[in-house]
Amino acid sequence: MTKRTVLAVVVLALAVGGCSNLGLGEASCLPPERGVSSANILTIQAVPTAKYTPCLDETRLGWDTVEWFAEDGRAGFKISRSVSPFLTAIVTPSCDVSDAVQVESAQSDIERYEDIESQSPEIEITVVPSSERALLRSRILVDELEGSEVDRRPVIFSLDENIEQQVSPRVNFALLHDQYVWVVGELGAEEGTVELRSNTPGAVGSGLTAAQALDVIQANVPEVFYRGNWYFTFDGGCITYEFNATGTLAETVAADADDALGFYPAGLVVEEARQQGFIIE
Amino acid sequence: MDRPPDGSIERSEPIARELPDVGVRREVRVAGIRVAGRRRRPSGEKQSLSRDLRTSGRLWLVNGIIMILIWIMLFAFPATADWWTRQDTALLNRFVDIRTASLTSIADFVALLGSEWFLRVLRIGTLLALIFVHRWRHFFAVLLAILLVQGTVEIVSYIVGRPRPFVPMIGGWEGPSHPSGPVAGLGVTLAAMSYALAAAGRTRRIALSVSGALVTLLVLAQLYLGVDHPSDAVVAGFFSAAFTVVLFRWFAPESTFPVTWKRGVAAHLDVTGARGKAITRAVGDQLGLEVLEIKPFGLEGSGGSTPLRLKVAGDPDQHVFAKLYSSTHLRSDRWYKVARTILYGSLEDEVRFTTVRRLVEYEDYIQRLMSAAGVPSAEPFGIVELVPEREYLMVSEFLEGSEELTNAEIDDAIIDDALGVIRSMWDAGLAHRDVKPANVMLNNGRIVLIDVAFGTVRPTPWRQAVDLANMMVILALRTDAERVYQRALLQFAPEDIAEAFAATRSVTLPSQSRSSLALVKKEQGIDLVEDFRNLAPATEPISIQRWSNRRLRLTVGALILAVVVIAFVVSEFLGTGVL
Repeated sequence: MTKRTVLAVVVLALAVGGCSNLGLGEASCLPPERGVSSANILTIQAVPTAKYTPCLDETRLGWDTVEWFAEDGRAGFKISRSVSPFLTAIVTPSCDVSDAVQVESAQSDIERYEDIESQSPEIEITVVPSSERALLRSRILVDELEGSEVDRRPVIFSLDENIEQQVSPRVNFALLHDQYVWVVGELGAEEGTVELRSNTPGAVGSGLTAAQALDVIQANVPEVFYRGNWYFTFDGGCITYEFNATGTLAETVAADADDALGFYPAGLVVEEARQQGFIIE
Repeated sequence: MDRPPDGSIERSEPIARELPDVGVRREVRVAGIRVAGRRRRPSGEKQSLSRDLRTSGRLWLVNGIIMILIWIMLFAFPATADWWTRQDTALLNRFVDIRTASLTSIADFVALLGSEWFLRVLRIGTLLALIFVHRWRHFFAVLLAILLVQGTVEIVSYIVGRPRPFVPMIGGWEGPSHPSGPVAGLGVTLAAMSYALAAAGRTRRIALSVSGALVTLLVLAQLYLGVDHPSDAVVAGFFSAAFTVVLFRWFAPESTFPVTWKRGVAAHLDVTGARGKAITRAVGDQLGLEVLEIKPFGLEGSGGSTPLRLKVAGDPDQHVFAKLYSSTHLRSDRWYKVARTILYGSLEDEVRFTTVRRLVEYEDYIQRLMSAAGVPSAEPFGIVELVPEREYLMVSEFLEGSEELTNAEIDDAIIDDALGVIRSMWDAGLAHRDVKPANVMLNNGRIVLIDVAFGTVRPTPWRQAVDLANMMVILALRTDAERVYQRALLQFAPEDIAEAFAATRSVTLPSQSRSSLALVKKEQGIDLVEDFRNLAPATEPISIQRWSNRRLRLTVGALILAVVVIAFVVSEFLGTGVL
């Protein structure tokens, strides 16, 4: 063995042997006696006033990478799928919740707010008949199409039987709730066609059969998404979950975030770090 | 010029004679040149021009290795790490004790030296300056140094995962503490700038001193603000400087890539200083010629080598011609061929040379082959080794008093002589492949072909035809197509000439000939190539190979590279890049 090889082996052994003590670790939700990671400590250093820091209990299916970050004034982690972050948890000294709505919190010392925009996977269609005859035809239509799917997304029909009222206000009411509207008139009842209206520019048409109307909806159906923020405010800080999920991820991300992410008591980390020999004044 | 009665062309005698036997220490005179004898370099003796790190480079290398060992010691063993942390904290507490409002303002200002935007301005400015002066080697050295240092610091910081100091921090920070990102960023940037922008010597020493002072100021500011441990900042400073110095000494050594602010052909090497001394010594040792003066000669006409005129001792003193080839020229040759392949397709035998030795061996061989075939060219004196495999000098006869054919008065005898040279090459199964005005010289009334480096043995008929067309174009530039065509019929069949111009395309004409043809067309309204085509028998155009797998691969590769470069530039301007 040459001198170079010996040196390389020694350096490698030192590096490999020693590296077991190295690393940031994870911002995990495990109890502090199971080990305080550098990530935990740096998070506290970033926002020393915060009573809690964000932590990650476990990852979920489709959560490809977790990238931790910290700088003065903010720290947290980004969770990504295919390099695109869809959920970021950040602790900051404070946050602006003026546009958010307060919701019930699971912890008494934490207030929770939400400011979310979302598109659920369900496609809702309200059938609006204009006459008695059209109502009869609409009932048959809804019965026939019950359980339909568009683009693997369930279609939920509701029938507005209030034919005494004018059609326009009933249509506007449904559109206000982002529903698709099928208007069935006298002629439509006779020909078996509907008039499609919606808030989506391309998803309109008249004289359409039910199958054609579903095709038009399929071509213009908006993507499922879950975007916006959840805020958790507490003494000395705020934890924000920033969501930007689309597709199947958007259907589950809210529930998964509730389950998998948590709040780590900063005091416990400081105490444990001191016991592990870190010099924290 | 006298010509034998049968009209045949008599080849000129070489001017120089064979140099004396190797290894004999003596002084003789050959063709007026004093030959002082030759000396063999014994085994183990250093080459004439050595590329080494020099003492300072070695010191920086040792410095870098020590830093790496310190990293391992510091963070592989908790006890050592605790000890260092206590020392660091004790020192930082002293800085905390002296904090005042005015000192804090100063420290905040100095800390901007390590800020992302300040570093980006310096880096992009440096790279743009290097692009402007076409110093691509330094450009890539700077880019490589920044990317590698930043990358290493990033990776190490996450591997080590050291928390920030446990003192009140009053400055900005990002990520784990060790090694210090801002200090490493400034260190690598200033060191790279010093090596890429400042000329060696006093200017560079000043640049390095200023750089060192600025980095020290940043270190002090970081410690005062409590955002870095002393060991974080010091290790980052030394590591970044050591890495950059070693990288530059290895990747862009001063002897091969000197810092100059003149725009020009990158392939031309500096022949003063260490290289000049090495040339004098090597030519003396290996050819026995005493070099009195080295001067660059005809740089504007040469992109593939550094042509030199050497004044050697004699009675009287004489000149010899020398072409300096190095790995820089080899790379230039490769890129030239890659670019030609992408633009025009794979022309025959345009394969790259793998080493400089192969390049000079090939040129020397072709030169001797041409000479043996009676093609008049400069007499080769031999190859001189400066750095084995990487740097060689080809020494040959200097054609004193010669002039470019396009600058001379041309009569029928000269036209016949020039066309006879092409005939000789055809008969010997050779092609020059670079017949252009700068390579066809008139020396004492006779044609001499120079720069035979692109020559080839047993070329395709197409290549031979192109040589003929190019020579006829040069001759017609000073006369006219009709006259040259009629003289050519004395040595070539009409079909040969027709083939030559059927093969002629813009790509087959050297750029010097192309521009001269364009000038004639503009000033006199004469299209010489078209005139030749009209004079010769009608024939179908001969196409050259335009596409091949290699060209396809290179084109796709170039497009991908272009996309990457555009993405890199855009990301830098958007502020999301790596610089």
